[in-house]
Order: sequence, then structure tokens, then C-alpha cells
Amino acid sequence: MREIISMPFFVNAIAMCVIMSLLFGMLSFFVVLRRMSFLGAGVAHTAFGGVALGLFLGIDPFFASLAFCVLAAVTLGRLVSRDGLSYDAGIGIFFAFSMALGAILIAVRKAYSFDLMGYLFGNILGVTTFDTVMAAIALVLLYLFVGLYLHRLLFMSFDEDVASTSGVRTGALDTLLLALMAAVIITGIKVVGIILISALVVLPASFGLLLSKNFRLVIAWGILYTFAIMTGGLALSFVLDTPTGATIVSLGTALYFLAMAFVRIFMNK
Amino acid sequence: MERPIIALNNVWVEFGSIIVLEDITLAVRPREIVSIVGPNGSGKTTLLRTMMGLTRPTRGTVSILETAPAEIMRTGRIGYLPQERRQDERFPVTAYDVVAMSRFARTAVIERLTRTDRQAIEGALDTVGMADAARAHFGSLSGGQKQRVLIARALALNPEILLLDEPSTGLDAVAQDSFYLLLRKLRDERGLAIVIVSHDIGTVSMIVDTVACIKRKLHFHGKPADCLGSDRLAEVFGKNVYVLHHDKNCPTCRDDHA
Repeated sequence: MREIISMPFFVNAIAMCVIMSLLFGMLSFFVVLRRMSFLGAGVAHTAFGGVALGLFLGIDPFFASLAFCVLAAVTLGRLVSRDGLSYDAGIGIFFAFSMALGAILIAVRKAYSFDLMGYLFGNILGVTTFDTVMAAIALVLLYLFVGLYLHRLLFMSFDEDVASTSGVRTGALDTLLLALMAAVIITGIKVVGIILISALVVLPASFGLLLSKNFRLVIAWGILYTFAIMTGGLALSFVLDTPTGATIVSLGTALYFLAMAFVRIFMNK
Repeated sequence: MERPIIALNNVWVEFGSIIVLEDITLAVRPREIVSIVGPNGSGKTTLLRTMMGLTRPTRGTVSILETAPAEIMRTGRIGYLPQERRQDERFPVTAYDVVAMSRFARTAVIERLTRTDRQAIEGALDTVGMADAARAHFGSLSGGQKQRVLIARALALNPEILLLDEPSTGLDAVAQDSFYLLLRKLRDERGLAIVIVSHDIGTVSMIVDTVACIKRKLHFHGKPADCLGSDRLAEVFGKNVYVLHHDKNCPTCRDDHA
């Protein structure tokens, strides 16, 4: 056991657990309150097209999917705010198109050695130092952004029209939030995969909202919850010999419903 | 007569081939409470949004505090309460947090409340009678209390004009009366001009100085009594309209009958 703990892949995995907890605990708060949960899932699926495009063009799949997803998220945000497209319809279109594009490009490139399962379901034990550094950069950017704009983001999430007429630059903030959301999701795909990442986008804030009515505590609970399910899921998958990403998400879902039952029974809600 | 603080001159708003507002000329003067009334789909909300620059007129001019609407809205001189208030009940903020939002909106870079900000927030909560509930969760307040907090958020910017879109929606009769009394107090004590969009011609007419009846066109703008007793009301709302006249037993009217 001591040997495993000292191995680089395990150190990277634990570092990634800490970074992911801070990233998704915070991101989830704004995604859930702005009712953009489905957008998170859509952006993650869009990453598949980006990865395939990277393989096709010979660009690093991480940077290709990062650029592709940021562009897709920002374009979608603009289409919704300026042209009246609904998020549901927009995500449906982008989602299907990028999955289709990915499938075509992989077939054309004949990239059969491509680790499809790794991208779809993640592999935290395959996290490299490069992945950890990229996630740490995303962490600095997200916390800098929230540190500067927390209350204005809160206002925008609460009442966008009034925030705008009160002087908040809602268009610019929304674009930055969407770009950061795409970047954070891309860094998390390596851990739990494209299919399961939407759970990390939705569950932390949903859990926090069960336990508190104070926005700072909701964020704090979200971070703690994400850390608990990531480390707990990692340990459980080691013991049970199950896929790590799937174990993390299953544990997270179970913990969420347990908390919901606890709140209903003991806090009389 | 004082110069108008809101002036619309021959304003038309068209969405594609649909004419929503036709040749509207309307003036609101300082410390005036104006109610814009009309049936659903008559263009009331569009008229309010045009005053704020959220909707651009296809023809005509709009001036608010002698400035173009798009520029004035970012100055904090206008307080706005929109019609659609679909906040999630679980949204984790207190009444104080909600009022503070408007002060944070004016922040240049670092978000930090100064002593002036805190005094403005506390003063606004006090004015609307919600100082004791400042630390209460916003989602757990009653409909009337929420309206008061949202008005306090607008007041925290020390505006000169309040624009309210259907502010009494979802309030029971007692809360409505209390809310309208608050508006009159704001006009009397703070010297605010207030524009209220409403389909409730009865209650609103008792607290306003003038009523503007619109149904695409402006059919009437004048004192409520002249509107309620004229054929203009039937032009706008149709013939089957009954107006409930308030008397000295109504809390909102009591001061007028004293």
C-alpha cells in the first residue's frame, strides 16, 4: 500500500482530487443557479468533436478540445442571448453535431488506437503531471474571476435584466463564465470522462443547497462534497476493482440522496 | 409646469410586421406617479422597456432625465422592477444580500462595500419596513415582503425614477394596499417619480396622479377620475369592464377621504 501511495500516478491522482474539488465545487454553484446544468453536459459532449479534430489535424487533443469547447460554449451563449435560440435547442444541435463530427473524423483518420473509453468514462489513475498543471491553471483563472466578480455574478444569476440595467456588464461576464466553464470541464474529462462529467457540474451545488441557505456555505459544502466523493470513489474503486470515474459518480449520487433523506427526516423540510 | 423627466415623442415600436406601439407621445413629470394601464398584450411592458432603452423604438425619440435611455440605465438614476420574477426559492441569499447587489453592481474593480454602501442598504431596507428581516432568507419571505426587498434594492442606488412592471402580481389584497401606500410614501418622502405598469385599473387609480391607457396607441392620459368615467376605458378594455371604486374604508384611500 505504501508503495502505491508514493507512486507518481497516485500522487497526481490525489492532487487532481484536490484541484477538481475546488474547481467543480465553485463552478457548480454558478451553473446550477444560472440553470445551465444541461449546458455543462452539452459542452462535455462537444469535447468529443474537439478531441477527434485534434487527432485529425495532428494537434494535441487537450488543446484542440479546449479551443473547440470554449468556442462552442461562447457561440452558444451568444446565439441564446442575441438571437433568441433556446439553450435546449442550441445544446441539442451542438451536442449531436460534435459527436457526429468526432465519429466521422476518427473513421476518416483511421485512429483506431484512440482511447475512446478513456475519454468517455475517464481514468484518474492515468492523470499525468501535464493534466494536473493544466487543471491548476484553470483553478487560478476561475478563482481570480470569481474573486473579482462574485457579487456581480450572483446578481446576474438572480435577476439578469435588473443586473444589466443596474450597471453589471452581463454580456461580458456571461461570455467569460461560459469560457471558464468549458475550460474546467475539459480538465475534468480526464478524471471522470465525457459521459459522467455532468454529474460533477450539477451535484456539488445541489448538495450544498440541501444543507445551507448561505451562498458562501453552499460553495464550501460543494467543495467538501466533491473532495469526499473523489477521494472516497478512488479508494472504493481500488478496493472493489471497479472503474474509478463511474465509482466516483455513483458514490456522489448515493451521497446526494442520503443527504436529501437526512434533511427531510431530521431537518423537517 | 415643470419639464418632463421622461419624454416620449411620436414613438413607434414594431417587431417585424407587427406594430406594438403606435405614435405614442407621453410625458412624466418630477414626483408624479403614473400608471400605464391596458389589457394583456396592449404594449405596456414594451412601453416601459422602451423608456429604459431595453427596446429600441423604430421611430420617434425617447429621453429620460434629459439623456438617451441606453446611457441613463448604467448610471443608477433609475430603479427598475421587472415583471418576470422567476427566482429559485432556494437561491441562497438573504434580504440584505439582495439589496447589496445593486451597490456591488456599481463597483469598479474590487467588490467591497464601503460605509456609504452599507448605510444606503440599511436605509433602503428601513424605508420599505424590512430592516428587521435583513438577515432572513429571501426565498422564505412572503410575496409582499419580497416585493419590498426588491424595491429596497432599487432604492439603494438612490434613484430619481422608479419603473415598476406589474408590481402587485401575486400579492393578496392587504399586501397590495400596503405596497401601494409604500409607493406613495416614497414619492412624498424621497421625491421619486414612479411609473407603474398594471392591468389593475381599480386599485392603482387611487394612488396615482395620472393614468395612461394604452392599447397599441395612447387612448388617454390624464387624471384617473376622468379616465374611469369616460368611454376611453371601454375603448381599451372592452365593454364588459367593471371598476371597483374605493372609498374611505379602503386603507389605500383613507388618507384621501380624511
